[in-house]
Amino acid sequence: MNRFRLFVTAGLLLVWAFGMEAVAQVTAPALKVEAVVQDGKHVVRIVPDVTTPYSIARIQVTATTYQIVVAVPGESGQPPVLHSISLVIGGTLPGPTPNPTPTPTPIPTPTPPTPPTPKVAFIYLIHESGDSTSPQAKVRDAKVWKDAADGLGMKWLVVDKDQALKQFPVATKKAIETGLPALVALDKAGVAVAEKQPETPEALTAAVKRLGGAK
Amino acid sequence: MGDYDKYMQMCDDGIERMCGLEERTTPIGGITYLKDGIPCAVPQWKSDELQDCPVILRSEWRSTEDMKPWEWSNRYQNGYPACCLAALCGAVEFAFSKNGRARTKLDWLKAWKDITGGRGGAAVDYALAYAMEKGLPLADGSGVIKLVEAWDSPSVDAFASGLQRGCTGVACHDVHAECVVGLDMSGGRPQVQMVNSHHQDLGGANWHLFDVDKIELSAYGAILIREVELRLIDVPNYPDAKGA
Repeated sequence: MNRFRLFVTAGLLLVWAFGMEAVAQVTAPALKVEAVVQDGKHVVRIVPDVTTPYSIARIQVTATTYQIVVAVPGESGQPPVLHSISLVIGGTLPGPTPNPTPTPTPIPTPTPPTPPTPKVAFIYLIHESGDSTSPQAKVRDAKVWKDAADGLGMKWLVVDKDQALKQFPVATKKAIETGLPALVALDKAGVAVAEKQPETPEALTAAVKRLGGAK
Repeated sequence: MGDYDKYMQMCDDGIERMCGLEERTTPIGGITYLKDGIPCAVPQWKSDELQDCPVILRSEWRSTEDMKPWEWSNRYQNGYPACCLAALCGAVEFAFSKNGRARTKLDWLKAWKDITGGRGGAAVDYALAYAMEKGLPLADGSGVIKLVEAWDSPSVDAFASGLQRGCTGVACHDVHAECVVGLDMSGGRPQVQMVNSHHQDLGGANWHLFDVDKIELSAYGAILIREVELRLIDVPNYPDAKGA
C-alpha cells in the first residue's frame, strides 16, 4: 500500500512538473524511471527514488502516448511481474518561469505507420491433379517461374489439393476459394494471398516476381 | 563386374544368368494392391465416372517440359537386374524434384531385394503394387514413399496422355524398363524422354528419346505416377519439413 501511495505521488508530481494532460494508468509499484520523451529533449522522471529493483522491459512511444513497461522480480521465485505505466503527452512543458496561462500546443495528429511490404517466403502452386489439363500441367512443370522464385529467395512447392489440405490447410482453403489451380503466397507470418494460376509460364513468372517484390 | 555375383542364378540351360525384366503377370488393368488391408485395383488411364484421365488425340499432342534440369540423382544399376525398380524410383525422384520437394534418394536396390529376395528380375506390375502398398524405401532408411496416384496404361496413347498431364512413369522395351519423364514431338514423331540406369553420370548417356510406338506395352506394361505421399522437406520451418 505504501508503495502504491508513493507511485501515485510520483505520477502526480510528473503531471504537475511537466504539464502532462493526464496519467492514464497507475498500476506499478513505486519506481524511479528515467527516459527521454519522444521529442528527444525532455526527460520523464518519476520520484522519489526507491530501491525496488526493476528493469525496463519495453518503452513504446507513439505520437501521443508514452508507455513504459517495467519488470519487477516476483516473490518467492515467482516469475517477474510486468507493470505498465502509460502517460499522455500533449501539454506544454514548463520553462524556468511557468506561464500561468499556458497555451496548449495542439496535439499532433498521429500518422498511421505504413506497413512494410511483406516478404513472401513461400509460393505454393496448389492444384487438383485430377482436374488439371495438359496446358495447366505444362505451366506447372515449367522451370522458368521456379527459377524466378529461387532468385528471389522464395521456396516453392507444387502440390495437389488433397495433400496440401493435410499440410497447410489455411493456404489450401485460400486456394480453393480462389479456384484451383491457384498460386498462394505466404510471408513468414503465414499470411496467405491467393490468385488463380496464370495460363502461361511467362505470366506465372511475372506473378511470382510481383509477389516476391521484384523491382 | 559389379558386386552382384552372389545374385546369379542357374537357368534351365545350365548357365548362370542375372535375369532382367520379367514379363508382367497380370493383364492390363489387373494390378491389385492392399490399401489399408483392403484389396484395390490400380486404375487404368482412361476417363470414366470416377476419374478424368482423357486419352488425348495424337493431333493434339505437345512436347512436355524438358526434365533434364531436374536430374540430381543417379540410379546406376551396376549389373543388378533391377531396372524396373531403378526406373520406378527415378520416376518418383523426378516427380519430387520438379515439384519442389526435397531431393530424396530412394533405395531401389533394397526395393529389388524386398521383391525378389535378391534372385532374378522383377516385373513392373509387381513393382507398382509394392510401391503403392508398402512404399519405396528411402535411402537413409528413415521411411518410405508411397504412390498415391498411379495408373496402368491400356495403350501407348494413354501413356503419352498421362505424360502430358504431368505424370512421370516407367515404360519397357527389349527386356528393359526405363524411367520416362516426358514427351518429345520435336523429331516429327512422338517420342518419350527416357532416363536409363546404365551409366553413372548425370545428364549424359542415360538420357535418350524412344519412339512411343515401340514401347512393349502388353508384355511388360507402362505405368504412370503423379502424386506420392508427402514426406519431408529439408528446409527449416517449411510446413512439411522433416525435423524442422
